[in-house]
Amino acid sequence: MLVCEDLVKTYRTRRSVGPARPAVDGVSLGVAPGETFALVGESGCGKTTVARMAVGLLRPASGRILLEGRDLARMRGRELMTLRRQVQIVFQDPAGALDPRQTVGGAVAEPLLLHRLGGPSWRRRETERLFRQVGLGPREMGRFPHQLSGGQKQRVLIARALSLRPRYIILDEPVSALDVSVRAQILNLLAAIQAELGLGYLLISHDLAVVRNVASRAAVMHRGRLVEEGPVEEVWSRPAHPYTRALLKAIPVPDPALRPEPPSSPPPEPEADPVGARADSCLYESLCPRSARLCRRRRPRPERADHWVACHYPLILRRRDDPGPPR
Amino acid sequence: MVEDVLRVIDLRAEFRSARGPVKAVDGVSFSLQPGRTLALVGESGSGKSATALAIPRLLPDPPGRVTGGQVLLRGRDLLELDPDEMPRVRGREIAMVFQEPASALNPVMTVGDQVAESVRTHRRPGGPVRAAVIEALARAGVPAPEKRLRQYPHELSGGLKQRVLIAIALACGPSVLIADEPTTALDVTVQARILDLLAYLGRRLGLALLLITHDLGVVARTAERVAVMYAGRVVETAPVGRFFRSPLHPYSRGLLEAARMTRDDTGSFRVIDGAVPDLADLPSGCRFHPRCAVARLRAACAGPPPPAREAGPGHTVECWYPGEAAVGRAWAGCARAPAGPRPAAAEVNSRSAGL
Amino acid sequence: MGRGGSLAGLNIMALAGAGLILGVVALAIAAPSLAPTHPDRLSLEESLEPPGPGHPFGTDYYGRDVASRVLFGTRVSLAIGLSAQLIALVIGVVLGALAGYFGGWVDTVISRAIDIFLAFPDLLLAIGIASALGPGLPSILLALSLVGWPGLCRLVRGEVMAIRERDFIQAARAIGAGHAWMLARHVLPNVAAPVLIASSLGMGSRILQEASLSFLGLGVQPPLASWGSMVHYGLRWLSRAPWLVIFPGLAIAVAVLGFHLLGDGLRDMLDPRLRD
Ligand SMILES: Nc1ncnc2c1ncn2[C@@H]1O[C@H](COP(=O)(O)OP(=O)(O)O)[C@@H](O)[C@H]1O
Ligand code: SF4
Ligand code: SF4
Ligand SMILES: [Mg+2]
Repeated sequence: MLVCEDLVKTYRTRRSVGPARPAVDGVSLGVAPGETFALVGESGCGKTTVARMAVGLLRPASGRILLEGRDLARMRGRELMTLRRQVQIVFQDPAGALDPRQTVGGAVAEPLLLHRLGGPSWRRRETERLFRQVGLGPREMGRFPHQLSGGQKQRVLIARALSLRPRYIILDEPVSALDVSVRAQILNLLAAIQAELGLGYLLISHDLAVVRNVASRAAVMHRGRLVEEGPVEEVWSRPAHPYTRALLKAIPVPDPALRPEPPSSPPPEPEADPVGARADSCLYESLCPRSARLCRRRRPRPERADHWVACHYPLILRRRDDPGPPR
Repeated sequence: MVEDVLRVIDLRAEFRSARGPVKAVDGVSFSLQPGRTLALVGESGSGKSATALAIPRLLPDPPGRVTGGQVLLRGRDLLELDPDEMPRVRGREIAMVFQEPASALNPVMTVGDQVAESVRTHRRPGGPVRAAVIEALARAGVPAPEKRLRQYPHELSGGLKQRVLIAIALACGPSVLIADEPTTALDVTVQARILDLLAYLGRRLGLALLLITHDLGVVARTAERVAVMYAGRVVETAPVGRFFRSPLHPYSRGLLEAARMTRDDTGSFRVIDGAVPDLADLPSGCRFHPRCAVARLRAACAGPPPPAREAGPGHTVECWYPGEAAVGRAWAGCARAPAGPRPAAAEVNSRSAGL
Repeated sequence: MGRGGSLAGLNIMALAGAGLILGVVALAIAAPSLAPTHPDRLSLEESLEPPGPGHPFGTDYYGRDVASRVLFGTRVSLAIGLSAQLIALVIGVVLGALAGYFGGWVDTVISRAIDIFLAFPDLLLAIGIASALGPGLPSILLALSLVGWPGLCRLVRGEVMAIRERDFIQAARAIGAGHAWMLARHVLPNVAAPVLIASSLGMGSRILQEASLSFLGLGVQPPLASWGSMVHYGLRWLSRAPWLVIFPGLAIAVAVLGFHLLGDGLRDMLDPRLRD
C-alpha cells in the first residue's frame, strides 16, 4: 500500500498576516496495488499539493507517507532513491513536463541513466520497449517534444514514469489537457498498463466523468480537507456530503434530456472566499444549504468507514447501530 | 420561423505560416436567431476561435486574413463594411466574451471603471453612468455591485471576473454575443452558474448567442442548436435533441461516444483513432477519412469531398454515408442502458440529481 | 519570423554578422602570409607615407606598414576580447546559475555583488581597475572580465529562475535527479541560447572596451599592438597622417558590427517569443 497519513502542508505567503490556512489539512488516503484511487476536487483545493507530497517533491509539515509500511520522510540517500523509484508521477500538462531541448527518447532513457541501470545498449533496448508499450514507434525516439501531438507527449511521459518500474503512479490530471477524442486513447492505455503490471494509481482529477469511469474508490477534497470517501459507485449514487452532491449536480451531462430547468432569475455568484471561516468550523458552511450552528462551531470529523463523510448533517443518515467496517 | 440576426455564409479565413496557408476556417456557414443559442463544438485547432474572431473582424492580421464568404448582420455584410465602422458594430451589435477571464480584464483598472468605459463609449453622453454600471453588474449576477466598483480584478474570483466581462459585453445592448469557451477555465460548480446565467440572459434579452466549446456536456446543458466543426469545416448542424439522439456524422458520433465514455465489448473506451489533421496539409477527399471507421470500407470517402446534405428538419451533414456504422460495430454512444462493465455516467447522474 | 528576413531558415542579420566575424578571424589567422611586411620592421626613410601601392594603408612615424600592423593587431584585439569574454562567461554562468537555482542567501549575496558592479558605468569601472593595477595584459583581462560578468550573471540568474519553475524540472526531481544532474542536463541547456546571444553582443563590447583602454594608454603596451593602441599612438599625427587612426578604427568598427549583427540575428532566430 501507498498510504498518506494525516498530511498537512501550509504554504507561506507574503500577503497573509498571521498563520495561513493550510493548503492541505489532515488528508489521509491509501492506494492499493492494482487499484485506482481518485482524489477529486476543484482547482486550488490542494490536490496537486497532495500529489507532490506523495512523490516526495514536497515535504509535509506533518503527517507521514508510508510505502509498504515504511515512512518515506525518515529515509535518506540510497535507500530513499530506491524507494522513490517505486512511486512515479505523470503531470497534467505534457508539453510543460518535457524538457524542450531533450529528445523524447532521451527523456525516457534519462531515469535509467540517472539510476545507473544497465549499459548503453540495454538502455536503448529498454527505451524502445517502453515506447512500444505506450503505443509509440522507435521512430518517435529521436523527436523533440514540439514535434509530437499532445497525446503522444503524454504517452512519452507515461513511458518515462514506467521506466523505473514503479509500483504506484500518481496521475495528476493526466487527460485534462487533452482533447476528448485523445482522452479515451490515454485512459485505455493506462488501464491496459495497470492490468498488465498491477500498478496502483492515485488519480487526481476535477473531471468527475473520468473518475466515475476509471476509479474504484474516490475521495472528495474541499479547501484542503477530505469531506467524503468511498467506493465510486456509492459516492456517485448516494453522495453524503452536501458539497459532493453540488459537485455531481454541476457536471454537464451530454444529454439534453437531463438539462436542468432554465433559471427564472440570474443565478447569483456566491461571495468569493469567506475568509472568516475558522479552522474549527466546516469550511463549506457559507455555501451549504444545510448549515446550522453546530457547523460554525465544530469542525466535522469523519467516522472512518468504507464510505465515510465529514459532515454534521450528512445527506444519508447512518443507522446508530451501524458499526461499519473496522477502522 | 424566427428571423436570423446573423448569417455566416461560406466564411473562409487563413493564417500565413512557414508551411503555407493554414486554412483555419474553410467554408463555414450557420445562422443565429434572437433568444437562441448555437453551440459550435470541436476539438482544439478545429477553427472555432478563428471563426469567432473572423465574424467581428478581429482576426489578428497578419498572420490571419479573411479570404472569402459573407457575414450578414441583419442583411448587412460586415466584411464589406468600412473598417472605421467596425468599432461601432462591435460592442453595440456584436459583443464577445473570451476563455481567460483573468487576462481579458485590465489589472490596474477598477472594475467600475472598466464597466463604465463600455457603458460610456456606447451610450448617449450625459446619462447617469454610475447607475448604468451598477445595473450592468447586477444583471450579470454580481453580488453587491456597489461594493465591486472600487475593486481590482485580482480581488475577484474566476467566476466573478467572468461575470464582470459579461457585464461589460452586455453593457451596450448587443444583439449577438459570441462566447469563446467562456467556462473552460472555471471549476464545474462555477461553470454551471455561468452557463445558467448565459442561458437566462440570452432568453431575457433576446440575445443571439454563439457558444463555442469543446464540451458536449456544455452543449447539452445550454444550446438549442449545435454545429460540429472539424478541421475548418462545419460537418454537422442539428437541433440539440436530434443531435444527441441520432448524430449522423461519424466524427460527431465519435465525439459523443468519447464524451459519454462508452466502452466496447472488451471494456475499453471507444476511441477516435489518430489525431486532428494539420490544417496546412489536409487529407484529400473527406477530411475525416483517415480517421473514419466507415471510410475503411468505402472508396468514395477518399474521392471528392462530401457536400452538405439535408438530413431532416434543420439537420445537415457533410458525409457520404451519414448514420452508417462500421461493420461489426454498432454505434453505442446513445446507449442509456449499462454499456460495458459500468452504467453510463449520465444515468448515475440523473439518479444522484434526483436525490 | 524575426526582423530582417531569412535565408534557408537562417537569419540574414546573423549570416552577415557571422560572415564579418569569419572574415576578421581569417585575416587574423592568415596575418603572416597576408601582411606586406613584418609589422615591427622599421624603415625610417618611409616615415608617415600615405596609402599607396607599396603600403596599402600607409606607414607610421617609424615607417612601419600600417596594413601589416592592423592585420597583426587583429590577433591581439580578438584574443583579448575572446579571453575576457570567456572569463566573464564562466563567472557569470556559474554565479548566475547558483543564484537562480538555489535562491535564498546565495542569491542575495550574488545579486548584491551584481548590483554593486552594475552601479558603475562599464568603461569607468574598466578604467578604474586597469589604472589601479597598472597597464599590462593581465590587468586588461581582469578589468574587461570584471566589467563583463555582471550582465551575463543577471541574465543567467533570471533565466534559471524562470526555468526552475517549469514542470519538467519537477518531473526530473520526481525521477530522483539531484542538483548537479538537473543543472547540467535541464537548466543549463535551456539557458544556452540567451547566453550565446549575450556573449556575441558581449564580444563586441569587450573589443570596444579593450580599444578604449588602449586608446587611453591603459591597454597593451608596445611592442604589442592592438587596434586600440594603434589609434592611441596614431592620434598625435592625426592632422598629418589620418590613416594611422582611420584604418585601425575601421577594423574596430567592422568587428564590433559583426558581433552585434550576429547577436541580434541569433536573438531573432532563437528567441521563441519572437518565433512564429
Ligand atoms: N495567431 C495565429 N497565428 C497562426 N496560426 C493560428 C493563430 N491562431 C490560430 N491559428 C491556427 O489556426 C487553427 C485554428 O485555430 P483556432 O481557431 O484557435 O481553433 P480552436 O479555437 O478550435 O481551438 C490552428 O491550426 C491554429 O494553430
Ligand atoms: S457540516 Fe454543516 S455546513 Fe458543513 S457540509 Fe455538513 S451540513 Fe453543511
Ligand atoms: S464521407 Fe466517408 S470518411 Fe467522411 S465522414 Fe463520411 S463516411 Fe467518414
Ligand atoms: Mg479556441
